[in-house]
Amino acid sequence: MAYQSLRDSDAQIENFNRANTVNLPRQTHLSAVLRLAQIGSIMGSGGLIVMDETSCMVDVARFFMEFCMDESCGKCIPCRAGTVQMHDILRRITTGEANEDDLEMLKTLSDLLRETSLCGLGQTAPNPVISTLKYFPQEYEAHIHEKRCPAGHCHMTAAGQEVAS
Amino acid sequence: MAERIQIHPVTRVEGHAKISIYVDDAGEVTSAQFHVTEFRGFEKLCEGRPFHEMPGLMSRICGICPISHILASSKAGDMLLGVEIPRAAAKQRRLVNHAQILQSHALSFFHLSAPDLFLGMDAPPSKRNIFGMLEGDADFVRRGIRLRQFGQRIIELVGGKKIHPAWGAPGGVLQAIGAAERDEIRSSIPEAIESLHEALGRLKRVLDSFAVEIEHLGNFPTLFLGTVSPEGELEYYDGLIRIGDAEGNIVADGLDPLRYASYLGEASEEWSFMKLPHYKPLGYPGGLYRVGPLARLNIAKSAGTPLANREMTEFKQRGKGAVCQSFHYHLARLIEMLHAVESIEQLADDPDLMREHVRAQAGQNRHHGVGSCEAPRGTLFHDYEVDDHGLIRRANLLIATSQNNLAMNQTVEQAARYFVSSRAIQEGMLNRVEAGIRCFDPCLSCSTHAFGQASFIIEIRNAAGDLLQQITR
Amino acid sequence: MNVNTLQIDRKMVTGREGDAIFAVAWEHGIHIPRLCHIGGLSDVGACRLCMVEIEGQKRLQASCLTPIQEGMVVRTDTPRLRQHRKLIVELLLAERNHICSVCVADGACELQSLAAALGIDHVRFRYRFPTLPVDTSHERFGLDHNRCILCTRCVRVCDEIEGAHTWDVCGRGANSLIISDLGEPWGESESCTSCGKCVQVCPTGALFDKGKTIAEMRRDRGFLKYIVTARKEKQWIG
Repeated sequence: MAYQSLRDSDAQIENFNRANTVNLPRQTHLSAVLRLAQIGSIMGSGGLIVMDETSCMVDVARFFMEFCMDESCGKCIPCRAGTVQMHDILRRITTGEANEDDLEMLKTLSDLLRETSLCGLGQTAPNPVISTLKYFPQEYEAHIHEKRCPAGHCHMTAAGQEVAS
Repeated sequence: MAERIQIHPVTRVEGHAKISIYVDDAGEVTSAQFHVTEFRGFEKLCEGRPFHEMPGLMSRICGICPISHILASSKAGDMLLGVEIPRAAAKQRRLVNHAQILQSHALSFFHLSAPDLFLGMDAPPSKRNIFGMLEGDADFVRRGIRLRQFGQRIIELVGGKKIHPAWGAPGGVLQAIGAAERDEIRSSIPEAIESLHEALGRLKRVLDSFAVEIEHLGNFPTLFLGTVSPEGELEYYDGLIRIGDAEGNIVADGLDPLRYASYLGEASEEWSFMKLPHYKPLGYPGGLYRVGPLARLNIAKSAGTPLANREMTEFKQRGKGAVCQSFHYHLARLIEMLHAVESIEQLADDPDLMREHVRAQAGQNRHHGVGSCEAPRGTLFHDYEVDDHGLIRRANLLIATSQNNLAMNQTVEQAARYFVSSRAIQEGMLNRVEAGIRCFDPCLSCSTHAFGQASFIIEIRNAAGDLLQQITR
Repeated sequence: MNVNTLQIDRKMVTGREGDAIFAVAWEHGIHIPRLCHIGGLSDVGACRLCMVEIEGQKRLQASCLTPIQEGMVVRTDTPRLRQHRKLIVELLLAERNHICSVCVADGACELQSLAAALGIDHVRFRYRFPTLPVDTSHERFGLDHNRCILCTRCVRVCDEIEGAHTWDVCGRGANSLIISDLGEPWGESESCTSCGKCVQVCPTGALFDKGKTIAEMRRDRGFLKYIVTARKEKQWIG
């Protein structure tokens, strides 16, 4: 199995950084395409999730936060209690119950967890939030201000509608 | 043609409520209900907590009479421990209870009801308040405020702070009191007695001008319930329950407050979150009774202190048998304040008060404890069941104001029938309905554990239940 | 013994080589906030309140676990640190049912006094209001999980000083709970010696003397110093 050379995919990296999308040639070596650290990610266990426009970025962030919340060992406070609160805010964004202050708090908590958590789990728990806020801010705003999920994934609750009115 | 007027909220009561007045096709009042519309649920939220916490937790029900809840709760705790508390602790508890009756009654009389009594029921609402009183007679109002301050100060000197002191506990109280505190209490007594004499004189002078209100604001025969001492005198901390009737006969005597559930029933109606206690042998709603200052003065044979005794003898002449006019709650309240100040003086002179030993130590020895005392508004019961490890399994509170619930309903109806006509609602008419409630000085937050938005609404409905007028303020 | 000189909050201080920043700071009157640390027990760096900024290092460090170094420049009270500490305490207050007004430890609680010192007058998070039990099965003591902040001081004092290791933590994340033995009621624990050390080191109202009412619980921690010193100096031998 022959990987494409590094040089061949330089253009692809540029393309990604410009448009946040990439068309991968078959059998491309991943590290060649994506300088992960550069774009704020890590390889982790080697998994890769491919998503299209039907995936709600807020819900994706919520999903990863749920994972971290469940996996938190509970020793240090920022991770144990912070992931719970971040998950709660993300959940409320997806149901339309959140407001602008919640978004600010999400950012504040992201800093707290990154800077004060005891281990890598808590330190990296906010990454999906930080990345989605950076690359898809309009999805957060649509949920919060318009009570609308651009991907058509989230169901706004009655409580959410009340917040809107 | 249905019309709607709003009065919202009612002024000068503690807590939030609504009144419905039902009117027939001819525009005449047929009935009225006093609704307490909200719910707090302390009985539920203390489940699973250690019973030692109850005095502090239960006192949070109310900022006006936290002491009553501390006392009833501590006494239930004493029973769970199975101890007799040290003499100094019992004296402290008595002292602070009198102080609380003094401050709470002062609040009710001077701050809440004096404007009706001294400015008149029809005075403009903008003036009919304590500030309007201040314009007229600042010295008298100041005396009232200082009476309340005196009561609060005693609570602070003994308990550490005026409201919600961390002071009472199962087995006694938390700290002994010193000579400096006692001397400060003593020094304020002469002024307090002077103020009360003045207030009593003034109230008696204006009573004649309220003949119509005295006749039609809650004037009906009921039973009266309260605590009396073994000698049949006024008793606020520890005694037996006596029930008297409107003719002044004793219906039941020497009832153990611990067995309250055997003679007091608690009904509930879907139109109110306040329970409707009644005397079981007469059933519901026939077993209607009143508690509080009027009831206590009616059932006790004398006050037990000289000045209050004289006033009480005079007071009893206002009724044939018992005094049935709820308007005389005001007078009864002043007499009780006089009795409280005299009792405070006696306790301050009692050498037991300053003993160092204030807490009996024991483990849990029972699974069921009931505590009762006389709160400013009437008899209060706290009833706890605990598990083997002292955690509350079930709690039941029987609050003074709720025991007046049936009587308040009847008062509202009586006042509405006499004073309200659906054809031309005037502010003064409605103020008289409110004043009927004010006689009882209800503390609605205590009695329903209600929370939320303040509202007092009077509704007038026709026979079909349709809303004709709604008055909110 | 080597001595290091360093700067903490613009103050030149000295400490023994190997000592933690936290200890040296406190010796010099610089009181870094903490909830999990208590003198005499090992440190776990769990509360994250004692984190400090060290010049030349991008990351914040838990001062209880970071040894001093010659020439180090440490800041313990910057706006960033204050903001983090405030958030951490708010997270704790929202996590369980910390209701000071009806707590046995009211007036003598480290969480309460720290919240006051940090100027916390409201909590920006949604309260979680978990339903948690109270264990009063022990004859003399009680454990109220509602007030527990999982600092694990009780776990450490029981293990390191008493040697019983009755306490430990079960569950994970927000569901963590302090347990005695393998989750038996405290009163049924076979390892517990009823010494009460755990009750004395608890920073909040989670562990208390049974029978104490609201605001009555006060603690005495003097034993830690003399036991630890006596052991170190072998004062009972010979």
